[in-house]
Amino acid sequence: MSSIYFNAEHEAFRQMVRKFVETEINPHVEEWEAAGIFPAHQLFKKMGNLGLLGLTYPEEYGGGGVDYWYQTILMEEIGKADAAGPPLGIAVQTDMATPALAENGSDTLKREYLAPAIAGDLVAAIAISEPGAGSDVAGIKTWARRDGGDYLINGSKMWITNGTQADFLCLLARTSDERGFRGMSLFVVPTQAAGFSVSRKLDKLGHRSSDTAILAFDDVRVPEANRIGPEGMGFILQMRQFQRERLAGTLMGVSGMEKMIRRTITYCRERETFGQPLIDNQYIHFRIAELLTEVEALRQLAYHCVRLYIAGEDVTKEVSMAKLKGGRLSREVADTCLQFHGGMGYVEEYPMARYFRDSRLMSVGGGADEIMLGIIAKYEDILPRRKKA
Amino acid sequence: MKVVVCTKQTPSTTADLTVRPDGSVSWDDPGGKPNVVNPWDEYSIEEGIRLKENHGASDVIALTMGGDESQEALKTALAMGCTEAILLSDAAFAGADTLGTAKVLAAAINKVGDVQIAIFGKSAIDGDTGQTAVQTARKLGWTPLTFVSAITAVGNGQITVERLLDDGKETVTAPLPVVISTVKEINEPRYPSFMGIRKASRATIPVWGAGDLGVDGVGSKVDWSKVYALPAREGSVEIIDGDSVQQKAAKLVAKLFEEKVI
Repeated sequence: MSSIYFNAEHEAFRQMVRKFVETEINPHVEEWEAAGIFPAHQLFKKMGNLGLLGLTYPEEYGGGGVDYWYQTILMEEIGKADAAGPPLGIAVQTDMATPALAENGSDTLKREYLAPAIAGDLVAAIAISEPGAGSDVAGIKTWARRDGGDYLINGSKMWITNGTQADFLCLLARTSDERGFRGMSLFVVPTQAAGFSVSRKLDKLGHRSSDTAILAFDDVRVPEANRIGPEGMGFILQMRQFQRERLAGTLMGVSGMEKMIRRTITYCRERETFGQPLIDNQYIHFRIAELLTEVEALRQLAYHCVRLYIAGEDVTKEVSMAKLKGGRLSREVADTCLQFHGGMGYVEEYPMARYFRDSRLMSVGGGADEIMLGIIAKYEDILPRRKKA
Repeated sequence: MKVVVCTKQTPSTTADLTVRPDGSVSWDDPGGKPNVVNPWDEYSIEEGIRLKENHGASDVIALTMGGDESQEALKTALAMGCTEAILLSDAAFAGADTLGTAKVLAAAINKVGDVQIAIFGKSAIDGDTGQTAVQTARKLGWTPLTFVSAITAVGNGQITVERLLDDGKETVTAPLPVVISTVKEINEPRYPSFMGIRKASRATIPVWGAGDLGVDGVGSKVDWSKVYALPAREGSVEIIDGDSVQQKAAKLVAKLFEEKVI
């Protein structure tokens, strides 16, 4: 692809990642989907050996020390995998559970957890949502109470990707009685700690090859040194971490949509009805052209976000817009592509049905569409004014 | 001990070959994939790197003959772990057949100096002749070891390899220097790493021309008098119908006998 964004080195990197996906992920997708899990330790070690798990992180911790365009390529290429489960697990490792640790963790904490995560020796998970608080992060109830030089963590976390395989969690917990977001802190919690348990693995509509779990914490003791950043700053740090999560999700979503559309074009060229290929119907090729236009527009918004992110700007509003649009568009693209596949789109023998199921997450995970709308409205100062008491 | 890996840049494995009525040919990848290092050469590059890692080779030098665009194949070799890469490029090399290519490669291998092993893939996926390795060995006066599926020992001035033949394997020991052509059973090629790609993209690749190598009259002794596309295959599909699997199977077997397939 010739592009003003990517040079020959980027393209060589893209080809390498593409080959990795085609060789190390796609041939195993059916088996992993059936098993309800992919072998994260095995896959991540291979990725770590190639330097794929810490592209933007400092070289002193084994990272690549490059800007987010490389991560953009990684997300775009893994987003084209034949199932969205493994890419999600990878993105949790690189863009959801480790950015705050890389930016705000102590050197010791980074050497103990970030460096092995980059090397692919440890699997990470992000533990924010709870049975009673998902997108509404300020409502979390898991507590980390001081006990000598340690914290004792009690509570439960839900919808945790990589949850049954993770070696450590980046976990948000309350550390004071202050209401709302002020009383929260971020921690690195090793899953071998006493009192930690996986309550159960969740059976999901899509992303079936990715393990998602409910986790329980019963007096889980973590040292103060495992806190990321200052006490009480956890919510702020997590909100920043969310921006990278949502950007990565959008980039994967864009390439996933493109994959669905390209597959649909191929199918519609081959499939003949009433004596002509399906694609020759104006409704079909116009509709595909329209969807490609929408996807391209979203890609450019995502690239704009990448540029802002690299420049160190606050990307909250733009990333929220991109994720909102991505979630809605992926539903539209998946639905349309399935429709154009007819019966072949409805059977599990063909990947379209899986793409359709997988596409639904983007509007729900990492902050639902409605949360994105709230953030955008807040940034635009169009939320209802609170009445003074 | 230096090892040279001779590579070629080729179309991707998914590219389609088009033969026009005038005999000119072109490759076009429907997915837009760029040209790549010849897939069979990935095995030879990997084996070259393993000779450094496991058998004490001091340098693993990738060579390719081609235009400037062939540097990308050499960068892949560097990104995988070759220590050096050299592009053999000159207008005088254009249109070379395999013998002409072998002449240039042999001159380059001699110019590198102290090379004990030159490794090739079994063939290039575009021309698919599989002749360049043995022709290069002939030009160098070295022992050719073809279809090598394993290098089992290197030392004391000799090399022992396994050759994969139609009816089995044979173990061969030959004095160094040798030219080896590899088969895919020899190893599992590594991916170029991220840091390898970064390093390779910054590498300056030297270009050796006809003057540097002291070769002339490369050209081609082969004349392609006519190039034409294969006629399209014709075939039809017949669905075997029946009330039960057994009945369908019986019908199928009868049909296969009738068609003298079995």
